[in-house]
Amino acid sequence: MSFKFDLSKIMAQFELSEEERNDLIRLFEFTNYLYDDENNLTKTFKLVKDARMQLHQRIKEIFESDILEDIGGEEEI
Amino acid sequence: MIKSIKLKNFRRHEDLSVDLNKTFNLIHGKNNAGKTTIFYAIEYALFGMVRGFKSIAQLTRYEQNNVGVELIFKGNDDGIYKLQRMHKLKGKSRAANGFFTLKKILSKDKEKYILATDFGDTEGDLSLKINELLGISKRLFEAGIHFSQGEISKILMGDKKLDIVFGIKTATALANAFRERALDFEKEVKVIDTFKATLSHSEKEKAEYQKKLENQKQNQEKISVKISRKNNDLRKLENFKNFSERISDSVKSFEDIEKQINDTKIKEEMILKDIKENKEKYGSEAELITKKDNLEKDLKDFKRKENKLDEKITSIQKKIRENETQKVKKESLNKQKQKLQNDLDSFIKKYGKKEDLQDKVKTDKDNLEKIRNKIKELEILQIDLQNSIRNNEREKGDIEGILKRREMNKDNQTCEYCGAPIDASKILKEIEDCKKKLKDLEEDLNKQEQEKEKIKRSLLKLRSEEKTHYEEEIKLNNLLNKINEMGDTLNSSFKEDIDKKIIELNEIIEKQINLLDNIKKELNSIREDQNQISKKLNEVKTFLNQKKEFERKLTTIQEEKIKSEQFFNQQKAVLSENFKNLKKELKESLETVESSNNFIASLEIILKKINDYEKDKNLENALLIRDELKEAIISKISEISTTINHLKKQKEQSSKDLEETKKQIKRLDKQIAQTERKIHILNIKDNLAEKYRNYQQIFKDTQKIIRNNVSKTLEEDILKSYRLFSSEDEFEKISIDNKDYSLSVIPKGTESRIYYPASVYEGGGYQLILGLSYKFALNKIIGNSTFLLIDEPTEFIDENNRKILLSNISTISDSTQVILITHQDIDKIQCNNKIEIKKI
Repeated sequence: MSFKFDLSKIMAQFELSEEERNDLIRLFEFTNYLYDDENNLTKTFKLVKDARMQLHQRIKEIFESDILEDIGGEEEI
Repeated sequence: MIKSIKLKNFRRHEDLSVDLNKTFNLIHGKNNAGKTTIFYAIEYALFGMVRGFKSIAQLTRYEQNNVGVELIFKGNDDGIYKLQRMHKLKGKSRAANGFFTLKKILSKDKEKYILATDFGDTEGDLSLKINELLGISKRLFEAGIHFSQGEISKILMGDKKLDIVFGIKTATALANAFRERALDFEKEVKVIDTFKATLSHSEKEKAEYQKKLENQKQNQEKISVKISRKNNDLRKLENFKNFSERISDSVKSFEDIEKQINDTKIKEEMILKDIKENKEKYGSEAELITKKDNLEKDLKDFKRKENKLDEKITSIQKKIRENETQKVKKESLNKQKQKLQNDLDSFIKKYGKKEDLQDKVKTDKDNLEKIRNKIKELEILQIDLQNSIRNNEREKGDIEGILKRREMNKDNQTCEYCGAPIDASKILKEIEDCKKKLKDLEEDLNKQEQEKEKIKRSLLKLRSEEKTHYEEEIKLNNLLNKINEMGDTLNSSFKEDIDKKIIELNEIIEKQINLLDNIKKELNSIREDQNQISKKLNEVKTFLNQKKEFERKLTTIQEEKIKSEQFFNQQKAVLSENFKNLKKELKESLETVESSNNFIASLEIILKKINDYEKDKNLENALLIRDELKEAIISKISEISTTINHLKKQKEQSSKDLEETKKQIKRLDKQIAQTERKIHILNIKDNLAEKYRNYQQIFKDTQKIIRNNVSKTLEEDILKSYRLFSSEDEFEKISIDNKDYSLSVIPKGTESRIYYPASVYEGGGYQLILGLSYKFALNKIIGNSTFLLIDEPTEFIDENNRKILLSNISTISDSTQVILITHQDIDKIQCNNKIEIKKI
């Protein structure tokens, strides 16, 4: 079996809508970009806190902002 | 694919341009010529930094402050792009300030800006764009594109960073991130049941308040109806109050009218009394008129007499004025006469009497005659003397002429006429004679001149005397004339006796004044009588006018009296009408107004009294009705008002309760809405948590997929490449460690079939070929790169293997651009783009 790294092909193996798939690929590329910068990594190649926050923020932007904006923004419960 | 690269002050290159073709490019040159620098420049252009270098200053040519690289490449979209990057170094610290621009080359002369630091684009933006256009990231570049000199075989020991390159770390980070997000949401969602219970409780509470609100509304409605009914009663009673006021007004009006009628009667009586008194005092009107006529007649007679006396006075006054004028004239004339006499006296006193003056004139005339005769004599004497002088002068001139001739003859001694000679002694004698004659003549002339002068002086004196006497004569004649004139005037003008005349005039004037005084006295007496009569006449006229005024007032008062009586009757009718209406409304009220027995009884009594009034029309009864009605109504109004106030308070309280209930409902509505919203948000979050759990699982699975596939694929591809690049097929099997990506081999011909770590197996040549194979396999698996940078891959490799390796690398370049750096076997390598870098 010959494998060539192609995320879209990998994502195609899961039950996802087109929009979800594109969102996840975008998020994957963003995370890759974070990993490209040595400053974002710990010695064991994990993301530092600031980069993790950036990733969480990106997740919020992609998956949550639209929904929470529709109901007037998230509030403390 | 890279088309060209330009270096400016980059390491040892001051200015270097390298054009590359799309297949195989060979960069060669002596050691330390700067070949590898070109790969550094590519890395610098793409990522802004070069692995292994700590600062930009290390990449900058010695003693230079600017460093830059321009890279032209073909992107995955087949577009040609120009990437320019430069750094400026500043100060002693050589701190670098970087700039980049990425442009798309549209034609030879036309470029389009894609990204630039000048536009605020960041390094991150550029990295993403390069990934999009060339399919590479920094990690991919390091792992599978750039085969660094001396590092190729290191890959055999594995590289944990490959987890990053393959995206395994990324998938892990994403799985973790989604798990954390899901956990957060799951924690929040736990309270959803509490909110649901709160919602249910709030809804129940709201229902109870709504029921309460309904009851309160009904209660308030009832109170409002009651208030409205009571207000209606109040309005009716207010109407009765109006009746009471109207009765009051009518009765007051009656009182006013009665007072007015009485006043009128009093006034009438007073005027009649005045009229009677006047009649008694001054008689009847006819008598007064007769008296008035007689007085007017008397007055006219007096007026006539007065006029006559006035005329007389005027005439006498005129005469007096004339006599006084005459008197004044006579007095003036007398004064003139006196003055003239005085003047004459003073004249005579000054110049003497007329006879004396006449004598003086005669004497003066005689003297004048004598002087004139003397002057005549002197004048004759003067003429004679003048003639004698003239004759002497003529003679003297003649003798002087003769003397002059003789003097000439004496000198010439010839006759001046004939030139005959003349005797000198004769001439001298003649001259002597002439001189003597001349002397005598001059003496005569002097004497005559003296005489002439004497006569002249005498004449002057006489003439002066003549003038004086003449003037004296004229003066005396004038004085005489003046005296004559004055005497004539006195004699002619003042013949009559002025003083007598004046005395006569005075007597006449005195008589006239006395007469005038008598007449004036008579006139004054007449005027006094006239005034008396006028006064009496005015009195009579005043009495007559007063009588007329009394009569007019009497008429007015009588008219007023009639009017007041009429109005009185009208008001009575109005009051009756009011009572009639009151009766009617009272009857209606007894049927409709909600009342106590006392009030009904009061009204019934009032009705009875109205019936009585209608019969007797007694105003006192009317006032009684008014008072009783007022009392009953005020009492009833007070009762109803108290009830209304009580009801209003009830309503007010009810409104407050209602508002409070509404407030509670509103509060509960808000609370319910908030709770519903919170539940809604929690539901969304619950869904998101579920979704994130799914994504977490997807990225966990992705890790597994990548990891499993990468190892197998790498093992196969490395063995395939190795067999391609190596002259010997010495490995049975190759294995990649899942965790650290280290490579192990099972050599052919070994029975043990044990895996040996590749990094310690055999010599450097094999390791290099194996490493290269690994790198090519990595490049293949990463997949998207269109170029490869291979730096000195043939070190430590024998000639045979080198030949195979290089020829096979060139075959790879059919699909991928290969840029290879070497300093070995340059001539033997088949390549159509050999670039020599010369050592500077």
